[in-house]
Formats: sequence, structure tokens, C-alpha cells
Amino acid sequence: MSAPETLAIEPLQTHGLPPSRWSPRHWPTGLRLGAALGLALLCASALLPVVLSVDPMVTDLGRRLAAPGQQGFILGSDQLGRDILARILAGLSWSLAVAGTATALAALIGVVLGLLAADRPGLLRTLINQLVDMVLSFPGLVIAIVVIAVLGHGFWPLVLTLGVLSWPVFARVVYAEARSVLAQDYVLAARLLGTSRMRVLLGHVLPGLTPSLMVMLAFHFADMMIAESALSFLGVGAPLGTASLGNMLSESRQYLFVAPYMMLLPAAAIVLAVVAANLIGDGLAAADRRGRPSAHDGGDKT
Amino acid sequence: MNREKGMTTPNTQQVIRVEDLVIEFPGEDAPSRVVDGVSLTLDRGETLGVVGESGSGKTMLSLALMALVPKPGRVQSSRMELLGNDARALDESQWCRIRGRDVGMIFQNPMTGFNPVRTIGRQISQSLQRHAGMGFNEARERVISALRDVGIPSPEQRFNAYPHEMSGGQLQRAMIALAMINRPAVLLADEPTTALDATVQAQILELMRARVENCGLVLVTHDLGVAAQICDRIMVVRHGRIVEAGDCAEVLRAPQHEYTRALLEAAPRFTRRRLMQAPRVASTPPLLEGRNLRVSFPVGKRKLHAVDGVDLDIWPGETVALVGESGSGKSTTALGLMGVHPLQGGELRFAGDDVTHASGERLKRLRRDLQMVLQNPYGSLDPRWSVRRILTEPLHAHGVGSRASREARARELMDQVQLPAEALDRLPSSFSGGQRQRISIARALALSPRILIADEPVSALDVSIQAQIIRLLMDIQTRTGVAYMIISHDLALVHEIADRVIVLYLGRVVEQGTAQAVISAPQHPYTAALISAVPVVDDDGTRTRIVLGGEPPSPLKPPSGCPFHPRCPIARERCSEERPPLAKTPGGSLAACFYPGEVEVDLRLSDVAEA
Repeated sequence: MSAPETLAIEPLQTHGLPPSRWSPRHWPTGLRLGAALGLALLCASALLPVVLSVDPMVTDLGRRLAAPGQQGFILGSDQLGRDILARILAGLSWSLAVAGTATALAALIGVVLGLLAADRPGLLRTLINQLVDMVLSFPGLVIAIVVIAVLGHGFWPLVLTLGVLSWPVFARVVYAEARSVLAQDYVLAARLLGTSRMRVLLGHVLPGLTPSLMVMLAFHFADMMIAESALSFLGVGAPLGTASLGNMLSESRQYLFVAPYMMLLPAAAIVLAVVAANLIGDGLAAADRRGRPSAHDGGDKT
Repeated sequence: MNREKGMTTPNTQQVIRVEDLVIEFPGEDAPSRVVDGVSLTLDRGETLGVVGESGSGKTMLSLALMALVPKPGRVQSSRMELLGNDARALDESQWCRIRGRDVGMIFQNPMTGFNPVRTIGRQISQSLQRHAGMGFNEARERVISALRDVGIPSPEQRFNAYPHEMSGGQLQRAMIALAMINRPAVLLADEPTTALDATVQAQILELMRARVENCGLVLVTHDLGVAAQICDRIMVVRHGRIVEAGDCAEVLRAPQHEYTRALLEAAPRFTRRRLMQAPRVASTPPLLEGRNLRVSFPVGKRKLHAVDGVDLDIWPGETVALVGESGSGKSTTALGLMGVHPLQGGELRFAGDDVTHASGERLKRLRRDLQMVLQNPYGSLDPRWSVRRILTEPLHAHGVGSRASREARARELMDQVQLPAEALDRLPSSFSGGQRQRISIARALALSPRILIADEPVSALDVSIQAQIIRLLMDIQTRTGVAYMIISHDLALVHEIADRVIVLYLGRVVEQGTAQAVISAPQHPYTAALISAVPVVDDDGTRTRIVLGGEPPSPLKPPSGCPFHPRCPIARERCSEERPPLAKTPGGSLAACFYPGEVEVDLRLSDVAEA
């Protein structure tokens, strides 16, 4: 008798090839928009100053408070006759650099501590979780003022302040998600095979967190942009005189009615950058949801 | 009963009549038909079994009978009558009145079928309040009596229980009470016992058989054995089409279609015995030797003894089966052997070395010889890893081989589990459950272990796939001489493949011996009940069955004396006072019972396959 047909091994399913869901072809519209906007801002802040060759710091009191398009200024000039377009571009690159570095720092601390807390029950976990609670209860602004007072104004003091105050967000999420991944059967299987803890964390747990991390990075970046501008606006961020979006807003207050564009233009730059980051975050979250194996994927048992 | 307009009281016996049912889902190129031209009828008091494997469309078929096919799906039929009315003309609000009143549904997983934040009683009475317009007090009365009818002890108290306070079997009973509460004309049950233990499955099937008097039951299952227990007629479906339908006993006795024969071939029964091999025991020392093993977990201030003094030996090349209900300590024993749960007592030796408290490098070295396959093939493979990476993970972990030799080993392993080597680049999601379990087995074999522990290796799979995986495991054993410890609750499977059997109850061994002796002449009544709970296809309704009452007691407060006595059909006074020791019985096996061999089992051994 020929072998019963059911006993033939089932054909492989066509899906499940290595993931291509992060390739641009599968991006949702929001993600495309956000990525395009972000890229445009990044290129503008990096390339345009070279093309324009206008120094954002050069003052020209004879041509102060020019409206956009007048006296040779594309976007007008400020109270000291500096080119607003050049200042916005310079401010943008400053803000992007500060926010990017601070986000990376926060993510690094948060991921390491979150993973450790998830993997090591007992004293270490308790300590880390207590530390998270402690940092979360610090009043951010006061700390920022203290740090600036001690270290002085500048790029690194600002990055350190933002990063060190905001890592608990990452630690919390990484901790919770890592614990759920650690409870999966494939982690037990890896342990049974003799895989070391470090390999389990780096090989199984961290890749499992990547989608959430990417979403968090994008949103955190937006938060950092706003925080940087806010601190600079209050005078505890970028050094005075530096072309920074927050500083520009701060300086524009006295000229609000004479030259509203001094406030509106840098504000618009902040809004655009934050919207881009948020669009990317939302888009990544949507792509991740869409890319997850559907309910049909598991069999109809268990 | 007062029926609202739209549904008149049926004057016919026929409750369902469906002709040419087609369910389509839009696909990338052409729509895919999950159900293709199925016709069926169902009378009152009749049980129709819809039997098929995963992906045969049987679940969609049952959902269509309640107009619950999920969104992009399209349902068409030339006729669909429910209680003599055209069901196709009904809109969603009318269906809302029908579901739960005229059609009841029992789902596969009772754990997720109830809302976890509301009491069982409230959820069931809600159905009465909504459909029959009863007040809460009146509904409460009815629900309590319904809970009593489905065999839930002290229903007045259970009425106020939350789902997490009840066991799976109890919840499935409550689910049946919920489905039956409005005395529906049709009851749909989708794999109602698949998530349950064999002993509890036997109870639930018994209950369903008793409760269907006045309604038609559609039982969807992948297990012909289950269908054989309670169905009047069965319908075998494959790829959305009916391949065979007819009287249940008739179809099982003389299946016409080749596919039905294949399914029947794979269904559990106590027939095929492996060729008797020369006993491999005794002549050599055991490879793995466990004495008085204990594993316990702290629960509040008390200790839960999950494994409570188990002796266990594994000889090279043999197959030992560890059997028992869930909660009997089978998996904990295995994880104790593997060093995942630390052993709190006893002694464990591997090839003569004491490995009781092995850790670090010693534990890692032990794992080259002692490997384990987990139960759930869907959870045990990292969904982000390619098969190549999965198969070489153990080699990397132990620093074995070069890049090229690891690749060669991966290909060899794929060949060994009969999967194409081209599939090495794929992710687990492109494999079916059975194929994933093959990958899982291949991974465990990567280091060429001498003992492979398999925790319910097939219980998450379709019956026909189970047979393939078991055959694969046997092939591998013949080729490599690996010893198996198979954890299972399926005694028919154990009978087929094991050399020796160890039966656990509440973390203790209650019976131990050769598979032949233990299964054909069980000495302990618990073993007899486990054997009897297997739904064999050859059951024509005359098989005598021992249906255990209740569920295993909590190991936190084990009963006095013999821990099995509250559920034992032959318990006497002595059993509640004294604990019987594990002692030699006349048949040669060991049993912890004062009255060994009193309960006999009816295996329905058929002689067909002996030839």
C-alpha cells in the first residue's frame, strides 16, 4: 500500500522568510513622511550653511530687525542684525546633536540597567528599581540648574543632565519587556542547551526588544528636543549667544510685537523636528504591529 | 418558551440545514476558500462530529453557523436554515438575540473563554437576564442548579468564584453550563477537551454525552478518538471539503476514503506494540540514576513539594515514559534532572558521577549528554532566529566546531529530521507545528546527547502529525542509540513506544514497571484510570471505563494516607490512614497500593495490527 497522503510532510509556508518588514517598501505613510521630513531637516542643517556661507554669529546693527526677504535676509534678521535662517540652521544642528546624544546616553544606561534588573532577581533588581524610582522623583529643572552651575554651560553638561535624568523611562520599559521575553519557552530552551546568560540576553532578549526600543528612541528624541529648547529658553541650556533654537525664542520675547517672525520661525523649526520624530515613532510602532506574526500563525491548539 | 419574532418555534426535528457553504478570505492573488461547498444537517438530540486537522476549515465552519466569521471573510450558501428559518436574512442585532439563546458555543480554551474580572455566576446569569429577561435572583437560582447539573461541587460558593480560582476542568464545566443555560437548540463545541487532561477529558465527554438530550450538538475535533466517544454521525473535512460523512460507527469500521483511513490509522488505540526487545535493563548500570529526588517551591511560608522522593533510572538506549495528570510533577522532575530547578534532596548520578548539585561548567558539560525537547513547538523557537542559527546555537554555546563544520552539522540535522536543508534560512513562522517540533528535536540532538528528555513532545500537535513525530523519534533512537525519557499523559502512545513506565501522582511514584506489564495489567487504580481515560477509536460504547471523579488535590495539602484515596474507586478505610509503600506486585511491577491489581482495564486491543 502506498503511504497515506497525510503522512507526507506538509509543504513549507511561503511567508516567514527573513524579515523585510523594516525595508522602506513596507513603511506606513506616516513613517515615510516623518523620515523624509527628518532627513530634510538634517540635510538642511548640515549642508545649507556651507552653501549659504553666512556666519550665524556675525552682527550687523545697521540691518537689524529686517523682515523676511528684506535687506538681503531670506528669513529676516534679529535684533543684532544676524541672519535668522543661518541661526535657525545652526540652532537646529545644535539641538539635533544635543537631543541625539542625550537620547543615546539615556538608552544606553536604561537598556543596560533594565536588562540587568530583569535577569538578576534579588538584590541587584531591587537596587536598580529603587534607583529608577529615585531618579524619577528628582525635580528635573532644579537638577539642571545645579549641574550647569557646577559644570558651566556647554554641550556636554547639557547632554549629561538630559541623559542622566531621563534614562529611567528606558529602564522601566526594557525591564518589563525583558522579563516577558525571559519567560518565553525559547529562553528556557536556550538555557537547557547550555547557552550562557550573556548570550541569552544579547542573542534572544535584546533583539526581542528592538521594535519597542526603536519606537522609544524616536519619541524620546522628540522629548529631548523640547527639553533642550526649554532649558535653553530658560538660560540654563546652550551657552548665551550660541545659535540655539531655545536661545532664539528667549531673545525674541522683547521683540514679539515688532518682529513676530523672530519667535515664529525658530518655533516652527522646533515643531517640524518634533513632528518628524513623532511621525517616525508612530510609524515604527505601526510597522511593528503590522509585521508581528498574526493570530493565524500559531496552530489551533494550546 | 417565548420566542421573539424572526424565529418561530420549530416544528421540525431539524435544527440546522446548510447547503453549499462557501467561506472565502481575500488572498494576495486569488481569494482562498477555507470552506468549499459543505452541506450538513443536524437534528435535535443528535451529535455530529466534524473531524479534521488544523487548517481543514472546521473551526470556520462552526463560526459560520453563528455568523461569527471574522472580517474580510465572505460567507455564501445556497441554503442556511436555523430552526427552520433562513439564517442568511438575519442581521447582526437579530444574531445577537440568537447567540447564547438558540445556539450555544463551547470554546477550546476555557481559561480565556470567561472574563477574568467578573465572577462565573454573574457571567452565566447575564445570559439568562439578557435572553430570558429574568431578574438577578431568579437567574441566580437557575445558574446554581445548572452548575450543579454539570457537576461543579458546592455551586452556591462557586457562583461567586472568579475564573482564576477554578481549574481548567471546572471552567470547562462552567462553560458548558453557560452554553446550555438557555436550553439552546444547537450547541457548538470547538475542541472542547483539547486543552484538558485525559482524565478530565473523559469527565467532560461523559458530561456532554449526558447533557445533549434536547439539542443538536456539533463537535469540532481533530481527534477521531474523541469523536468516537460521543458522536452519532461524523463528517471528515479536509481543505474545506467533506471527504467522508456518515454514521459514526460505520465510518470508523469501514472508512471509504483514504484520508479517513490515514486519520484512523493515526488515532490512539492500544494495538501496535513495538517488537519486543531483549531487556536492556540490569546487565549494565543505569546511565542516569536518581534516588529520592525532591524539588519544592516556597509558597508563602509553606513549601510545595512538587517532586517528593522520586526514584528514577534511565539505561542507555531505552525509552522510559513518565506519566500522570497535569500537576503530578512530571515536568518538574524533568527540569530538576536538567538542573533548571535545583534538587533539594536525594542524589542524582550521571554515568557514575554525582551531579546532584552540578552548576556552572559541570552543569554545562552534563548538558552535552542530557538534552530536552519542550512541549510547545510554537514557543520554544525564537521567532526572530533563522533555522540555521537555531540549530547551531548549542554548538556555539559549547564552542564546538568551526564555521564550516557547524554548517555541515546543521545540514545533517535537517536531514535527520527529514526537513529540506534549503529551509535553513527560514524563520520558524514558515513552519507548521509538526515541522517546528522537528526543528526543536534537531536542536536537542545537535550535541549528540546520550539521553533526550521530551516533555509532551506531541501533545500540541494534530493526531496525524503526532504519529509522524513519534516515528521520527523512534528512527533516531534506532540510528543513534539515544535513550529517551518521554513525558506524556497519553497512555496509548506510551504503550506504543516505551520500554518502561513510571506513573507519578502528586510528585510521587505510584507505579513502575515494564510498559507491557503496567499497561496490560495495571496494579494501581490510578494507572488503570489513566489508561481507561484514553479515548480509543475502537470504542463502540461498550468499553468499560473508569472515570475518575474530581481533579488532583493540591500538593500544598495532600490528603492523609494514600494521596489517591479521595478519588480512588476501591479506597477503603485503611487507605485514608496509612500511606502504602511502593512494593513489588505479583506481575513484577512496583505499585504503591494496598490492593494492587483490583481494578481491571478494558484496552480494546485490536488484533489487526499485530500481524
